[in-house]
Amino acid sequence: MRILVTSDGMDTLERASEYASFFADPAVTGFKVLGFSSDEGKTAEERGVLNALRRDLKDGLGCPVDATLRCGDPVEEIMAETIAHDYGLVVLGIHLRRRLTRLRPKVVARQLASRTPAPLLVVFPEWDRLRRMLICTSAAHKDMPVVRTAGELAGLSDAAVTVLHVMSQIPITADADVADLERSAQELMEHDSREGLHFERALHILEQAGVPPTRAMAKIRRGLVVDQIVRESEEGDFDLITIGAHHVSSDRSWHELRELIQEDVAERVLLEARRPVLIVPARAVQADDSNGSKDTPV
Amino acid sequence: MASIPGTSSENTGPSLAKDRTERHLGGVLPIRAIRWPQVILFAVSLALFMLALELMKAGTRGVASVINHLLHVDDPLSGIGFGWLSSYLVLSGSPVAAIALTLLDVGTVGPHTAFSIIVGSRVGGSLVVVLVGLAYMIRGHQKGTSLLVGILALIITVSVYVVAWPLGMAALNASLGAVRVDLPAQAGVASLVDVVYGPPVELVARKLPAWSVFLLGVAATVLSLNLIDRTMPELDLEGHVFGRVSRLLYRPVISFVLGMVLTLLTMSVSVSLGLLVPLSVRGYIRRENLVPYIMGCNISTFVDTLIAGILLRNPVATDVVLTQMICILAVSIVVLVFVYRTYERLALGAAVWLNRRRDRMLVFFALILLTPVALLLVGRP
Repeated sequence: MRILVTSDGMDTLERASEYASFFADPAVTGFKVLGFSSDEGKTAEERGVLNALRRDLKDGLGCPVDATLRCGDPVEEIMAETIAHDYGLVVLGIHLRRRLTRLRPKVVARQLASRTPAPLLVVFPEWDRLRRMLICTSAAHKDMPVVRTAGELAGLSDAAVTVLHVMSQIPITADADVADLERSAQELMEHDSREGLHFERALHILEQAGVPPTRAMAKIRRGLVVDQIVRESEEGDFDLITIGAHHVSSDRSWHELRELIQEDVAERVLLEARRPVLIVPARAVQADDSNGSKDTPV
Repeated sequence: MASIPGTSSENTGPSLAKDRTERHLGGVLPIRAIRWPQVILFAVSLALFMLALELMKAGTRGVASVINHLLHVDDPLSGIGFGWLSSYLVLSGSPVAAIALTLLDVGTVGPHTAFSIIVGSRVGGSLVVVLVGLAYMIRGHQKGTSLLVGILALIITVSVYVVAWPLGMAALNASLGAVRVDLPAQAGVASLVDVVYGPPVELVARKLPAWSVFLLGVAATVLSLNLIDRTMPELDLEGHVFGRVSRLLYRPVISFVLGMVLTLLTMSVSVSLGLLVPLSVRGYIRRENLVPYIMGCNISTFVDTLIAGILLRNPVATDVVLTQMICILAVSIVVLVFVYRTYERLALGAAVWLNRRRDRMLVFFALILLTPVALLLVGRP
């Protein structure tokens, strides 16, 4: 697996590289650091910073590290890079703490998440650890690639993992089974409910990916999806939130309408959580989905 | 499949899926093929509704003294209380809104009071869903199933009207003609109604006391609106592309528009809400969809009141309804665009908080039962 480390500015690139080094492992065959020049007059200076960064990474990781400085639109350049080369992960360093730049990650990360073939890890300079990972799922089969990708990264970084499903449903018919809405994750698994079966499969995938059962657990929360994800990430002090990208493939019928009506939960999590977010792109989800069963209706 | 309290089970569950062979109109709208008996029944219901309005107009002088001198419904606040309480009596808001327009048409109340009666009728109409849910709960159904959606609908309705009501009052104050739309249909309707309904209504008014003519009109209004509800086209969201995409409905504006359109087609908030049920095999609905959907429903639910305004051939009555619709639309759009997330959290949080404990529910019910009484008493000298 090769990892691409990039950012929307040189100041966030160093921290993105440090974060990417959490996944240093024999399975990682190489890193590439892609920097963007903010000003033509500063190119030489920025190239020097980039070379120093490459040397540090190479010494620390013990694997090949390439470094490139480019000008132009970061989204287009990163897209071109990920299409031309097969990356297992793209680490994007970005500022999120500054209120004025809140729009930037929204634009850059969303465009990348919906278009790059590789999982996109958005990190912020303020975050420098990876001990606990939160995997958010909608309890549908299409989220299994999200679990698998997160599991592989957790296996590389020895992070503990919590699989979270938020039940935002409320009953609307008199004969609705409200018991499922009130059960814990453990109880749902014991009762073989849809969410329980999903949790069991997710935990099994995590174990296969190298996360032992002692480091993995399932959890249910109730309420508005984004609010509960953010609250869980704060209460549990998670260092990374993993979520599937919401993207509608252009080969699906009514895809323009679907794209229009579908809210991007990953984007909202990215904006509101204010901690690193791993967005597993739609293409990975679809590729896996084509081999598996169809979604169970909610 | 049982339905949400207050909804018709005829439009939900297996009945929607039972006959996939029926074609959709043009493949665009999720409406089943035209059923001519329903079309005829709709025409009859509309005719009955027109007759009901004429009867209420003819009998108004019999209840005018009760409304003006006993209940003192002569100011906006008491108007809200009157509309609110009246909708409890008829278990629906729409007939009360039609009554308000009739009272306005014959001069028993002014535009501001009529506007306020309609506001009260909508709030009271929302409560009816909660009350029916309460009946389900007493009969042993689980509390969460019975009440949460109804409470949420009530909270959303009240919160929107708290802003829309003063806005509407100001709009009416500024100029009653500011939003006047003289619908072209009104002139034709006027002559037709006079020719068709004039003689029979005069006959009834001569034979019966005025108050009983009014009550006969109210009963005919309730009956005709119920019949109109039954004649609305069946929508098959489950088998249509709308159904498939609706599983993805998270964007509030889309849920809002869907609620508005489906309620326009069904002319009933509760039936419209029930249409979402077949989309979930377990009888659930996502919280994210519910709040904007109900907000959308609350706008197009005025369509029957607007029809009443047109049938009364009174431009001021039409103005009052349009002002109300515009104000609620404006408030809803401001909420959706600027403060939606906060609003959504507060509304859902309040509904869940109330629904969690019986003592809170008791206080809540006491408040919503006593508030209209208090409002009605405010107007008394």
